[in-house]
Amino acid sequence: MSPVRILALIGLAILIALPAITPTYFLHLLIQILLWSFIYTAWALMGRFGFVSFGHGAFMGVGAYVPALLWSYYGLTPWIGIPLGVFLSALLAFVIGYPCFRLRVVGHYFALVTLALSQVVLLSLTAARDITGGSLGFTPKAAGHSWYALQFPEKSYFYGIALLLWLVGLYVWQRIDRGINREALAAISED
Amino acid sequence: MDIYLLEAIINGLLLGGVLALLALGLNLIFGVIDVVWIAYADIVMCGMYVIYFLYAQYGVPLPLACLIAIAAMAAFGVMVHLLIIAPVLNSPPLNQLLATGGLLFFLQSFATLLFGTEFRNIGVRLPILEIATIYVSFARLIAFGLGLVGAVALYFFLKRTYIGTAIRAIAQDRDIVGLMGVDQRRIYLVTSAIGGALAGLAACLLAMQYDVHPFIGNTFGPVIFMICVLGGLGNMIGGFIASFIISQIIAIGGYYSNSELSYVLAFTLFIVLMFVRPRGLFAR
Amino acid sequence: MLSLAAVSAGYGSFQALFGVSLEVPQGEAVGVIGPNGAGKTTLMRVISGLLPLRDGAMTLEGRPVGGLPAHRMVEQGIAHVPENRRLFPRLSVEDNLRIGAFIPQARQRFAEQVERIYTLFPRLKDRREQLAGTLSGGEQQMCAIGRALMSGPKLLLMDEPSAGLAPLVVAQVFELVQRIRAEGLTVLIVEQNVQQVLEVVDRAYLLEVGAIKLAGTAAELRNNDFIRKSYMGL
Repeated sequence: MSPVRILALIGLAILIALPAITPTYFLHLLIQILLWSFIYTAWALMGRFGFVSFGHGAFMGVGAYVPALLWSYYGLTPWIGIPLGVFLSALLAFVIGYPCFRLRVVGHYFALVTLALSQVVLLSLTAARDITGGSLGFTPKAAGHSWYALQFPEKSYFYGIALLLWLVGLYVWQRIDRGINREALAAISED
Repeated sequence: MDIYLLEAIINGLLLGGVLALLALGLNLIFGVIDVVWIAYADIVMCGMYVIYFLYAQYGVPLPLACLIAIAAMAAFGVMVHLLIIAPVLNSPPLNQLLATGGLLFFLQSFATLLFGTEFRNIGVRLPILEIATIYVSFARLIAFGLGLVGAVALYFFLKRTYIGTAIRAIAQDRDIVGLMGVDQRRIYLVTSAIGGALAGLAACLLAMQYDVHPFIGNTFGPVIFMICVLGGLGNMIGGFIASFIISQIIAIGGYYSNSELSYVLAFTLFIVLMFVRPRGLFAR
Repeated sequence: MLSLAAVSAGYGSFQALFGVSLEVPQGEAVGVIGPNGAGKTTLMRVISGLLPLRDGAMTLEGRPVGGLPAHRMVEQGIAHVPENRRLFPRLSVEDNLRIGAFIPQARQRFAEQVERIYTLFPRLKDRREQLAGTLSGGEQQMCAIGRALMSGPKLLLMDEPSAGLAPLVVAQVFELVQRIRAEGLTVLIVEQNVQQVLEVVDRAYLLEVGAIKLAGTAAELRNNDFIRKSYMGL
C-alpha cells in the first residue's frame, strides 16, 4: 500500500473516532465542514467540465425544503422525502440544463442563468412564507430520537451521516475524474 | 387605464433608470473588457458609506461628498485591478470570480465590523413630485436622466475615441494590442478607474433614496449582472434597454402581486429570454 | 537600420533562438526563411517587443532597443503584421486602421494616412464600416498590413503574409510588398513560401532550429543547392 493510502486510512480512522472525544460544538463545526466539502465537490465537478454554476444554492434549497416540509406537514419520513427532494432537484437541473445544452448557452451567459435560477428558488421560498417561514427559516417538527424522522438530539449521529455522505461524494468525484482522464489519455494516445 | 397601474409603469421606467445607471460600470468591466468583478455591487455599497460618513457625520456638503465618493471609488477600482485582478488576468475566469468573490465577503464583513448592520440613511429627502395625480420620485427621475446620459456618453466614448477603441480592442485580442502602441496595463487601469467611478456615481443616487447597510449589494447585485447579460455583454445601449425590460416586469408584476413574486417573474422570464437568445437580446 | 547581435530568446524552459545575428539595411527588403518550428515567429516577436531577449543585443538606427516592450517599439518606428493577421474581428475595418494609429505621432496624421491606405487598398475603402472578422482572407491581410502602416513605421515586419491565402491573392500580397518598398519602407519578411519571397527581397537568411544556417543575397540563395533541394523542391 502506498504511503498516501496509509495516511488516508489513518485520517479516516481519526475522523470516525472523533465523536467520542470532541465536544458537541466542535462536532457541529465538523458536520458543517463535511457538508460544505461535499457541496463543494459537487460544484467542482461542474468546474471540471468548464462550467461555472451559481445554481447549487437552488438545488440545496429544494433538497432541504422538500423533505422538511413533507415531514412537518404530512408526516412523511425523510427516508422517502430525501430521495424525492433529490429527484426534484435533479429534475430542476435538467429543466434548466438541457435547454442550455441544446441552445448552447455557455460561459458567462450560462453562469447568469444559473444565478437567475438560484434567485428564483430563493425568492419563491421566501414568498411562500406562510408555508416555509420565509426569511426566518423553517424548523422541522421535532421528534426526539427517531430513525423514522431521521432526527437525533445527539450530534454524533448526524456526524456519521455527514462523514458517510462526504466520502460518497469523494468516491463519485474520483470515479468521474478518472473516467474523464482515461478518455482524455486515450484520445491523446491515438494522436 | 387604472391610475395605479399607470403609476406602476412610470415608476418601473424610473426604476429602470436606476438599474441602468448601476449596470453601466459593470457592463464596461464585465461586458467590454471581460473582467469579473463579482463584488461590483459592494463597491457601490462602499461608495454609499463614503457619502453617508462625509455628509451625515462630518457635514461635508452633499455635492462635494458625491464627487469625493466618485473619485474614491475610481481609485478603489484601480486598486482592485492592481491587487486582485492583475495576478489572475490570464487565468481562467473562474479565478477572477473567486478572487473578487473573496473581496465581496471581505467588504461585507469589514463593513459590518466598522459600521454594524443597522440601516443608515443620509436623511436627504428629495421631493416626490405629483404630476397629474401620479406620484413620481424626484430622485428616480434624476437617476433616469443620469442613466441615459451615462449610457450615451459611454457609447460615444467607446466608439469615437482612441482610448475607447483600444478598450474595445483589448477585449477581442489582448495580446497584440501592444503592436499598435497600446499599453495593455494602462488600458486596464483606465477602464477600472472608469468602472469604479461609475459605481461611485450610482452610489450617489442610491444614497439619496435608500438606506445603506453592509449587505445592500446582495439586493441589486444579481439583477444588474443579469441586465448586462440580457442586453448582450458589452453592449451599452442593449444594457440600457434591458434595464427597462427587467424593471417593467418587476413594476407590473409588483402591481399584480407581491414584490418577491415580481422578481421571480422577472428572473424566470430572464431565463426564458436567454433560451431564446443565448447571446443576449442585442448581441453583436 | 535594424541589427541583431547574438540574440537568444525562448518560452519558459524552452529556448527557441540561439545566438541569432542579422542585419536589415535601410531601404532594403530582407527575408527569413526556414521550416516550421524554426523560430521565425519567435524572431519576429523579439524584434517587435512582444517577447523579451534573453541574451544578445538589438539596435535600431544605432539606438539600443533590446528589452523595450511592444508598445514602445511602435514609437521607435517598428510595425509588426502578425502571423494569421490577428485583426480585431468585431471592430470595423476603419476602427482596425484607427487603432493602428494609436501612438500620438500617428493620431495627428490619421486623416492623411488613412486616405493613403485606402488608395493602396481600394477594396478596404468599400468595406470600411464592415466588421473585420467578415472579410475574406486576402482582404484581412490587406487590412492587417494597412493597420501596421498606420503608425508610420520605418521598418515593417511581416510574419508569413502568404499563410492561408489562395495563390492569386499571394501574388497580390507580394506585389504590394514591392509597392511599399518603392515608397522607401524597410521590410523584414518571414516566409514559408520560399520561391515567392526570394523574388521580392534583396537578401535573406535561412533559420533552422533557432540558428542562422545560411545568409546571402536573394540571388545567391536562389541558386544555392541546399535551398533548392530542401525548400524549393528542385
